[in-house]
Amino acid sequence: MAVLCSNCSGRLIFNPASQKLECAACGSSFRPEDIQDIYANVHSKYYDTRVYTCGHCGAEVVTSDSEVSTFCVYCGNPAIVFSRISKEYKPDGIIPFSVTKEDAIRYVKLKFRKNLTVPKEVMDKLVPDNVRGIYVPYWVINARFTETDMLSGMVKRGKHSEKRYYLRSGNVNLKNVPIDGSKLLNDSTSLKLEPFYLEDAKDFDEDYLNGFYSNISDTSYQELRESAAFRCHKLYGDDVVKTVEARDVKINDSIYWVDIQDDPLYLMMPVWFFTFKYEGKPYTILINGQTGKVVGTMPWVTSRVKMISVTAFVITLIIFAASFYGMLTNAGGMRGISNHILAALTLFSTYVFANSIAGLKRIKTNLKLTQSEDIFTYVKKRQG
Amino acid sequence: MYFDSEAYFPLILSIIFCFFSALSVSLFITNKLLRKYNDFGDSSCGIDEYSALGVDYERMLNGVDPVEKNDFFLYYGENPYENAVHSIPEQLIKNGEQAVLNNPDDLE
Repeated sequence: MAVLCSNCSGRLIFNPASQKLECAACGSSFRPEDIQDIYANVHSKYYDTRVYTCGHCGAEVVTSDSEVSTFCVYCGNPAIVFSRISKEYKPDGIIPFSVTKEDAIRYVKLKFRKNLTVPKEVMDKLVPDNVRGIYVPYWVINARFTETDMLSGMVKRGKHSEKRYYLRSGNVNLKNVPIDGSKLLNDSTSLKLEPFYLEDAKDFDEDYLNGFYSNISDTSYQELRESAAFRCHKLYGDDVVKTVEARDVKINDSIYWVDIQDDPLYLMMPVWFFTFKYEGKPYTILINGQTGKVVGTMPWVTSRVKMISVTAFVITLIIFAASFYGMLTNAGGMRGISNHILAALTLFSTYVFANSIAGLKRIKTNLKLTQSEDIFTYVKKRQG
Repeated sequence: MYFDSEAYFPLILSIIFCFFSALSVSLFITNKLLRKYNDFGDSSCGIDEYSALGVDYERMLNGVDPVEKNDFFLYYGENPYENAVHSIPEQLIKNGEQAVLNNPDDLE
């Protein structure tokens, strides 16, 4: 399946900017659909791949038969060995990369530049060698989904708030929901990469893989159903809480079923992986290869974050202490308003404290997802 | 500065309030800072992206008694798609077979 230039026999690489296969040797360019690979059987439902296995995280990296992998795209480890040549089922379609590697690097830089908390050595690692394009397998499903929920929320009754309970039951027909078909990517991470626009999908052609890595779907039907149920429940759950007119609405309990309609589409979606190590831990920042959306949490320099927090603490403490001193000594006639200020401040502080703690926990969770050691654990867990 | 003994209690309370408020603001700033500059891609698509008609809510009850939950769930507890039969793509069948080969214990 190695595709060579018909003018000079040089190697052709797919260029996302021009959406053409380009020859680095003579500069010729060809549309993938115009290339005829004499070795490929267009009617075959299989295509040839080279499979590499990472000795560190256990991931399998798949390349076209003309590509050689030198390190794991998931954890950045160079301990990657050629495993086998494999015949794989052809996907139904592919969304070709439209974001170039340079664009992907630029998008990450735009997100994280001028940021004092991101370690400089991490930004220094943002070079083309550490960014790899990989086609991630997805199953695009149409599904029927039914869910019943018990929810709770706080409503105001006079001066007090009380907890009330709500029941919602409904169903929804969903179309073209992308479900990540690889065990390597955590479902919570892959759904953040959405949306993918299916209008740009092409019939699968191996020529699009030239210059990129790919991964084969390794999920079973049962696992796809579980992932689909998780995805649909998330979509439904975000909607159902909006139907309750109360504060702090939560889903307390739910039962749900999903029915995947016939013929889910097996599609390859383009994702750029920026992998690096910081303080011995591997990290992976993802960039949607179609839209340029950046997903991931950058590590931070703990000492700098601490310094900012302590500075904020000290400044706020001085301001509040001065205000309280004013209240206690009635400076500027402040004693009269002290009760109101104290009450407001207590409410405000409690609210801010709870929200900030929840926010920091969320960031920590996202950071763990970005650390590809998590992918490693995830794979091992799924492998039993 | 002079405080009489009656002022000690509010003074201590005020100090605690001061510390708690300053801690809250400090955490708030740290959270905002990390959210803005280090953490990306939290939002995902809503249901409108995948459904033109949205959710069809068959039952919407407000102010229910939580102890009735089991009755409700029993009432709605049947899989409406239980008898649906579908053709499964070959790749998924192959992956399922591979998973069984790798972990034969799962069959037990």
